[in-house]
Amino acid sequence: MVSSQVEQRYAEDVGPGDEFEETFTLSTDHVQRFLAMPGNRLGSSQNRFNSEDAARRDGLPGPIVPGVLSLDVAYRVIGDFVGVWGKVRSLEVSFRRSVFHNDTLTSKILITDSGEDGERHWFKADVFLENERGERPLQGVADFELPARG
Amino acid sequence: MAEGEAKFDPSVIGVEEEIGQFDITQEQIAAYCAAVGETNPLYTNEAIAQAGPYGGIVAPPGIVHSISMGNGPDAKIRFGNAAFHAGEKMEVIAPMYPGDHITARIHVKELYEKTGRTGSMLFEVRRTIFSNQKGEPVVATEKSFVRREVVPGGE
Repeated sequence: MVSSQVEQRYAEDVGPGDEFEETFTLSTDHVQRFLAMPGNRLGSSQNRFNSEDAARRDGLPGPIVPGVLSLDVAYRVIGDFVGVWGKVRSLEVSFRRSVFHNDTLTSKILITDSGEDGERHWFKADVFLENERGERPLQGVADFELPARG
Repeated sequence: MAEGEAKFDPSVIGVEEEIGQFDITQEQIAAYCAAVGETNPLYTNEAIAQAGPYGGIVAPPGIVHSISMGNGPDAKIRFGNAAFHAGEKMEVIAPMYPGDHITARIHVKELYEKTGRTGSMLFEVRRTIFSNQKGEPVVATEKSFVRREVVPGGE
């Protein structure tokens, strides 16, 4: 198990079966910053993403993280994994459960396939976020490329 | 209008509509990076990014999620009493640079019914293509929305 960070990985160093993970807390501050971004209307009213009362009215125990923000955080972890010279081609996820403010999430990447196409070194990986309760609110697959040491 | 028990308008499938435009700015990139905890130097460190593959800072592709767009074509769905965002695919096609002007166009890709453990569901898949000022696609998203009947107090 290798901890993910922004460093350059190379195609020769990664193969099917390898696992990587990173743990972080998705805080209320992260959500508020996301909702406050210019042009983001999700934060323009009291709703399940920013209000305890609105979340309870929707039957939730507390405010939740917008699904796209969970996706973006998963993308960030993969982007860190491929480094400056790698390329994330796609990330496809299913939202299985809600992510709540201040949930501590472990993002896991499991390499499932790899190959070469000309000078391209491509990889496929299963990706999921797991919360401290052992639930997986987001899971999916990523396609990315890594540079060769060459 | 009808297909099985679901009520929707299948004529909207494939009809494309512009749903918004926005500019990529350094400020927007910095605000987005703070929101998602992004520290990748491609997006946050001009000196390292200049020596990287794009010759300078670019925008994280997920920045397209931070700007609200219009809804696009209306499939006039009348099904169930609950709707949720079930999944999404994000394709990264080309980098977005500060100063780029992005236009978003959406179409309904699919509308279909499926029966699961909790009963009938209607899936709507909406594909959005974000293009720069040269008309080059930079990011594409495919969002799946599910509608179903939820019984209060039930599953």
